[in-house]
Amino acid sequence: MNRKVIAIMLIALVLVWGLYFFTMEGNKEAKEEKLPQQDVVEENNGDSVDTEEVVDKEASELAIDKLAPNFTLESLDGEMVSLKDYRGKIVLINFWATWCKFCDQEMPDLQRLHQENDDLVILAVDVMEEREEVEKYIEKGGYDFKVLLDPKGEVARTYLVGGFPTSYFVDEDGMLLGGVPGMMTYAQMNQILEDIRGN
Amino acid sequence: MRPFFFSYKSISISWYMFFTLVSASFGYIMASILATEYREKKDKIQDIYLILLIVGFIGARFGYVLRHPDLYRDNIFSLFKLSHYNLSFLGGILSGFIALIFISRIYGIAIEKLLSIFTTAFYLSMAIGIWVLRFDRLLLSLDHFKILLLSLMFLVGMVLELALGRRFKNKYTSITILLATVFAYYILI
Repeated sequence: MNRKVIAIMLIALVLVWGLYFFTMEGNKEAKEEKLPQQDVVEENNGDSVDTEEVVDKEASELAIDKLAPNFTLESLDGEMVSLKDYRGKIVLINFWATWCKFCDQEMPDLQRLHQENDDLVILAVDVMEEREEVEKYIEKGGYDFKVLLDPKGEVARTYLVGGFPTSYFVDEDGMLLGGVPGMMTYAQMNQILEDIRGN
Repeated sequence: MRPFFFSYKSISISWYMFFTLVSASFGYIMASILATEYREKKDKIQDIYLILLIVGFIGARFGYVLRHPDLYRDNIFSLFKLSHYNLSFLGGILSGFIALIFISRIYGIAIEKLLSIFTTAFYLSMAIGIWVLRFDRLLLSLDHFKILLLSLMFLVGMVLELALGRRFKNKYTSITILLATVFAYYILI
């Protein structure tokens, strides 16, 4: 066998091994970071204002296994909704638009998921559309999960949304678990939820 | 870890794009080295590699679309929106294999040689490329250990092809190893 072939095989092996340990280290760091934060919340026992302020500063950048960037947007009902209001629940942030065909196909599954899971909150963030248009769409579909309006697309930019639909999952502690670009099927949504609960 | 390899304002390079480039480059280097080993012109093999890369992607995409026609019936332009979650592994392999048969006739290179060179390059690319599933941390991804197993499986496929492919000089050896790898892939995934 050619020396060059052997060399490239060894490089590949080292690379694969390196990738394995690198991604494993990432997991460990995330777990270690998560533990002390949970302790602080427990010690404060309800008086978690200071912790929350720190959390907001830390969570300005989108990163997996870190606190999800907080945002406050107006819902279709007219109330101001923040991501951090939903600590203690799994949050599915779904970025969508009324003109998006795949979002349209995904919506009934989101509704079904919303009805079937009490520990899950769906925040459907409509990006850069008129309120009337969104209201008409939601009413027509008969959806009753939280629909938020991101009129300038600022939250979508923070979450690096490159296309619709894009979904992110946030755990009960506000940690960003990961995302799914593109449409999910009902089975895939359920699989992710099961994984989150299992972890 | 960020969900993107690089992002600045509206410009972002996804992990998927980064890993595609890195793994395709590894495959390209391997195919170039093997061209010399098999006494074929390097530039010819490099040209074929690029053709296969394009055909493989198109085949993988069509494989996925054929399996999910309802998703694209009213969204014809979405056909061009690629991600590793809307590609079919089998579609890519089948289209690459069919393309190799034609290329073998056009370029006048024995199919067993082409199979041996390009399946080796393919295994190497996949052994590295499969890690994108861990890096972009998408929630439809596989668990850590499973990705390692898949990556090692492709490396084993590569070693088997290198060890047996040239010894037996028979297209059926490469096809058997490829089928075994595809079978193992679907079992693991």
